[in-house]
Parts: sequence; C-alpha cells; structure tokens
Amino acid sequence: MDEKKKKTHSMLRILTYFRPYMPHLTLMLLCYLAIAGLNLVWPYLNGTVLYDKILVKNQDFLKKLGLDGSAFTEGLLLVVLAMLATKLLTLVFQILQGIISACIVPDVVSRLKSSVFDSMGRLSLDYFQNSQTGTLMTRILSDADRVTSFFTDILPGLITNSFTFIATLIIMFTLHAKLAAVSLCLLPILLFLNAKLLPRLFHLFGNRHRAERDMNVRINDNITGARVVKAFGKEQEETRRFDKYNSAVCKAEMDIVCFDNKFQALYTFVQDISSLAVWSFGAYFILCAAGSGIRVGLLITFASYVTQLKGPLVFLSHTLRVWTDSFSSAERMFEIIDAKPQVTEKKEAAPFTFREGTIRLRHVTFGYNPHTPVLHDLNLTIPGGQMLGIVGRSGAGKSTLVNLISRLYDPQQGQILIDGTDIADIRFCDLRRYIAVVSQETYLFMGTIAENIAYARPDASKAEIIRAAKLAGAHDFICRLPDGYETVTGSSGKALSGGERQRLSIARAILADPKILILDEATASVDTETEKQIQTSLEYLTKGRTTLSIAHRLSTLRHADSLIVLDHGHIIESGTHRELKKKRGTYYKLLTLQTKALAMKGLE
Amino acid sequence: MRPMHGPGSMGGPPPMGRPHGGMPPKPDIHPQKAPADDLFADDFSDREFDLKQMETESEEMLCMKLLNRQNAAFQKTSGGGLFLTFQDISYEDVQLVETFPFTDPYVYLSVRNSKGKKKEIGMIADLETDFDAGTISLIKDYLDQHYHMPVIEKIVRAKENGGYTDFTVLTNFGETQFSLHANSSHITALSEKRLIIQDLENNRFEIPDRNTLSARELKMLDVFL
Repeated sequence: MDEKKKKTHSMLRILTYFRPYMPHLTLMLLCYLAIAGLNLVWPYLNGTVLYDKILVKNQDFLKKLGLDGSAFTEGLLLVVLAMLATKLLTLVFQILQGIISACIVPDVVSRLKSSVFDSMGRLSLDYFQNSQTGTLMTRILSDADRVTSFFTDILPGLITNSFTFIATLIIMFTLHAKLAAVSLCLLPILLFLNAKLLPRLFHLFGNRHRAERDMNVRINDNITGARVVKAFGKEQEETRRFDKYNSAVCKAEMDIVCFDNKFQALYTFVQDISSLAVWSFGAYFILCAAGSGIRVGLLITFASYVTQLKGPLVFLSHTLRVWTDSFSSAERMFEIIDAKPQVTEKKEAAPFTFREGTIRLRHVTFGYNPHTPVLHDLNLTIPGGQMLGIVGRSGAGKSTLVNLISRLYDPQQGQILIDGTDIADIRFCDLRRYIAVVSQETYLFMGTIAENIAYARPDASKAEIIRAAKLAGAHDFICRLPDGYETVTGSSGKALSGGERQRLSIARAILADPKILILDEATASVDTETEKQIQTSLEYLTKGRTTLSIAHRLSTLRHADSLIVLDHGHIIESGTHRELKKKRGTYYKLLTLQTKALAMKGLE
Repeated sequence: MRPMHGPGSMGGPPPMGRPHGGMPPKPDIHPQKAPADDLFADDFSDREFDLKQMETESEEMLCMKLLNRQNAAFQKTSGGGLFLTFQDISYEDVQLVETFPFTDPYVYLSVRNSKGKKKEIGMIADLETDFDAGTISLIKDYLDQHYHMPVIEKIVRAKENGGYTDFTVLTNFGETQFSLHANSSHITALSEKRLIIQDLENNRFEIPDRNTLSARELKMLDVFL
C-alpha cells in the first residue's frame, strides 16, 4: 500500500471509532456552521446596517423593519438587540459544541488506547523484547490524543472554515465585486508559498516525534534503572545525557515554532496588505468616484470581512500540518493493532482437559533468531506429577526450554505435548490455567498484597488468600505489616525484601493451583537462610504437580525425580542425581565446583 | 465473611501421591526415579534440610487454627491486655492483628503470642459471629486502642516546612497535627472516595469521603494524592 493510500486507510479506520457518535458529530457540525454563519452576520450589522442604514437615517430600511419612518431610536435599539442576540447565540453554540466535544473526545481517546493496549496483550513476548518501553508508552499515551484531536478540533473546523471562507467571498463579491477582487489579489502568492513551505514543516514534525520518543525512552530507562544509576553514582552523567535528549526536543519544538511564526507572519502580512488595499481603494472610491456605490458603512463591513478571511486561511494551513502529525500517530497505533503475534491460538482449538500432566518434547528445535537455534532437536519426557531439574551453564537454553513449554514462543521444529495433546492445539486460557511460573523476577503490581496474591484468581476468598500466604510462608511477615493484607505494594507502595516478594509470588502460584509448575531460579535472588525457608514452601507447592525446576544452586534440586544437563541447546546428560554423579561428567563438575565455592564462603 | 471450613483447620494439601506416567519410547530421555533416601546422600552430607522437619513445618503452616466461642475464651488482664485460653492452653497478653484493617477489620484476626517469635496461635474467622457479645466488646475495645484511626472532618491548614508539610486537622477526636514528607506516598486511596493518610510517625487518619472536603482542603492534599 503506498503512503497516501495508507494514510487514507488509517483515516477511515479512525472514523469507525466515531461511529457511535454520529448524531453528536452532526449536531457539533451544525453548531460550527451556526457559529460561522453568525460570524458572517456580525460585520454586516456592525458596518452596513449601523452606518449605512441607521446612522444615515434610511427611512426605507425602517419601513422594512415595520417601524415608522422617523423611529430611528427604535431602529437603533433593534440593531443593537440584533447584534447582542448574534453574540449571545454564538456563545450558546460555542458552549453546546464544547459540551458535545467533551462527551466524544475522552471516550474515543479511551477506546483507541484500549485497542492499542488490548492488541499489545495479544502480542507475543518477542514483540516486547524487541520494543523499547518508552516507545510503546508514547504510542498508548500520546498518539491516541493526537489522532482524536484531528477529528474533534480540526475536521469540524476545516469544514466550518471552508464554509466561512467561501461564504465570505460570496458576500464580498455580492457587496462589491471590484473591492472583493482587490482584497484577494495576494491570495495566489500566499497559496504558492504555502505549497512550497509545507514539506519542510512535515519534516520538522517528524523530527519532533523522534526526539520525543528518544527522550521518553531515556526517562523510562532512568526510572526503571534508578538503583543502578545511584549505585554507580552516575546521576550527573545521566542528567547530561537527559539534557542532550531534552535539548533535541526543545530544538525540534523551536524549529516548528520558528517555522510556524514565519507562516503566521506571512499570513498576517498578506492580510494587512489586503486590508490596506481595501481601505485605500475604498476611500478612493468614496472620495473620487461617487457612483461606485461605496459608503463608509460598506467599507467597514468589507474591512471586517477581509479580517475574517485571515482565520480560515490560517486554519487551512494549520490543518495541513496537524493532518500529517495526526496520521503519523494513527499509523503508529495501527502498526501495533495490526501486528501479528508470533504465537497464536488455533481457531479450532478445543477445550482441554488435563489428566496426569505428562510433558513430552519431540524433536524440538528453537532459536529466537531462526537461523541460530538455541535448542537443538530435543527429545524429553517428564512423567505427570514428577519433578525435572534442569541444570546447565548460563545461555545453555534452560529458560528457553521452559518458555517453550509455557508457549511464550513456538518451536521452529518439533512438537511439545501435554498429556498427548500438542500445546499448539490447546486454548491459551486452558494452558495458562494449568501452568504457573515462579521465577526470580518477582513482579508485584500496584495494589494490595491480597490483590497481588489473588492475581491469577481475583475471585479468591480472603480465607483462600490467607491459606496460600500461610503455605508460602508469607503470612507471618504480612501480619507484621501495619496494614496486613491491605498493605499497598508495587512501584509506589511498600518496599518489600527480595525474600518477601518471592514468598508472595509463591503464594500467587499456590492460589493459582496449577497442574504444571515451572520454577525458574525461584530462589536465586534470596540469601541462603531465606532460601531454606522458601524451599519449604516450594516443597509443598511441587507436591502432586509436574514440575520443571531450573536452579544454579544444585542443592535446591535435591528432590528432583530426574535431572537433565543442557549445554548449547543439547541434553548432554540425564538421569538421577546419583547416576549423574557416578558418571563424573558435566553435572559432577558443576556439583564439585559449587560445593567447593560454597565451602570457601563458609556457607556449607 | 464466614469461614469456609469447620473450626480447627482450614483447607488441605493437594493430593500427596504423584501419578506415574508410562515409560516413554526411546530415544526419549526418561530417567528412572531414584529412591528419595539415596538422593544427595554424600554431596549434601551435612543434611542441611531435614525432610521430616520440613514436612512437619509444612503441615503446621498449612493448618489454620480457628478460634471460636467453643474452643477459646478471652479475658481482660489488669494491664489492659488480653488473656487467652485456647484448647486448654493459657496465653498471657496475646496480640490481635487485623489482617484486613480497612475493608473487614473484624474478620480473620490473627491471634498471636506476645512472647518469643510472636507465633500465631490461631485466627478468628469472623469476630461478630464466632463469639458472644461480651467477648466481641472486649476484643473490639482492644482493637480500637491498637488500631486508633481518627477520622478527619476538616483540614484546617497545611504549612510547608523544609520538604515536609505540617497539617492541622480537625478529627472526630478533636484537633491534631501531623506531618507528611513531600516526596513520599503517604495517602492510600482505598476507593474513589476513601483515603487513608499515614503520617511520618506511622499514625493513620481516615477520610471516609474525599468529596466532602472543600476545594481549599483538597488543594492542600492535592500534592500528596
């Protein structure tokens, strides 16, 4: 699809979000048209009627109003009332238009943001790993506002300003064609310059977007990595780096404002010249050409119309700028909405009933980059209810293996089966219900401790939440908190220690009651003492569940029914601890190294 | 909220036995399960984990003892504390902890020993239904003392003081002062209306409905919301 078609297509798609508001939009447009019409009436009342009819005591005009030929005071009063009514009506229509706009805009913005957010939820993990958080946040937060503002502020304005422009021209030519022609003599130059300057402005908007995006990424990095920044004492350096991005945004804004000012100056200059020309020629006609039909009132009316032309002209140029800005945003939003997730649910996926939970991998090959496999032709069976310990050096493919079983990625070759069913044929809701992960990255959402424990089961009762916390060894520390289970945690809540967070994440998994449990370095980030305590909870959690446990500390895998050693994506050893130890291979080496290292630290 | 299970215990562990799948065909890797006793027999010779003890601890953790009028009796001590007799064992000066202090202060109260590791003796699932009127009154008095949370009726003034803001408020207990730090999250919104303020000394104040505050009062709170 070429660029122009793409933009038109995006525009039509955005319009569908306004479909529920068609009556509102129609009413809003009528308000705009009424305001534009009233703006045309005002100069006529203010100039021609007041000066050329009332002040010159035109008796015919009074008779048309149904007044006596000498009732000039009443006539004046009527004109003043008409002028007042014009302003009041304009105000009423402006308020009405504002109310309608307030009804439409927040809802459309909200639905656009929800669409993008919902689409992001459907996308596979690889999308988030390949995208910068700041960029994605910009797309949700800013782009929806920009797109909507085009339809609510610009589009109706475009219609009404076009209407005002054309109607003003018609009235001007009707009132006095020669004077109208004089006032428009510079218009072709203006249009020519406009066409020449606009492409440059488009480029400046692009610069601003890129600068804002980079700055958002930098802010996000600094907030999430605040601890690292402080630990390395890099605050000043980070400030300098931020200043660089901030200056880029500032420069981009200034470029736009400078360029915009040139536009404004040009339009104002043309309008001033036009006004001067109208006044000069008008005055000349009044003084030297009595038969020209121009009077003072008409001249004032004309000058008002020329001034009024400036608004639509400036707005039209503004529209072109905002159009580009808005539809760039629309395209970025639809890029997310239209993105195809790498992992998809089959339409024909049937409800899955879990039996014993046997996991089987058949010739599984996978790589984040398909040309560089991380796992090579893996064959493995984990009988239901048993625990498999996965051992290996960093980068051996341990986490990748469990990510495939959770179906966060799909293998390039081979199959993964649970109870004989390919996981690609299982509905996501079933798969997620049966599998839970406890990893070293314990993420607590903004909310109470109770809400965090009940994340997978928001309908859980207080009794169930407490029971899960007790089993996870979290109940006692929760009771020590002044607000108990209602302590707010998360980014701006109560700071909990690594061990406490890990216990909450175990409680979350206990409450989820999964059939298959994945422990991905679940105790790696806690001290040995806490690890022992957490291990007790994990012992309970793994009972009766098919468990895959990854751990660098081999002692945590002591209960594994079987172990595999991964190296460069291959299973190089497998068996029980005793078998592997006897084998004196990689597992034995790792075990020996770890035992020595721990002994040196005095921990064992 | 009513307890989901009968008194004495709640819930239970998932099935202890592990279902056994059939042996997979070769070349699948499917190691035989080894007897648990042989595992790590020499590598972890110091037996850092006592399996039996861990099982006992797990069962203890799982068990939620529930106190009610049949198995527990509370009495007020001379020092204003609570004396508990539970399953024929006496506990002096027990502590009561509200686990859901804001939304349900009288359900799932944790009754804890005040000595040693302050271990939990048991829980009161629902104070208002599980005990008689006298005990309810006794425990509520205790909780009112320990969970004193004045309700703010009016914010009189807020004064900036070197990074802190000193508030003077009118509560249902009279006028009082507290301080908040400018850059901390001192206010928790429990709902769209209800706010809990925790001051620098961990005292709590409640604003049941923020909409009842005047625009001037809201402006004083605005920076902390």
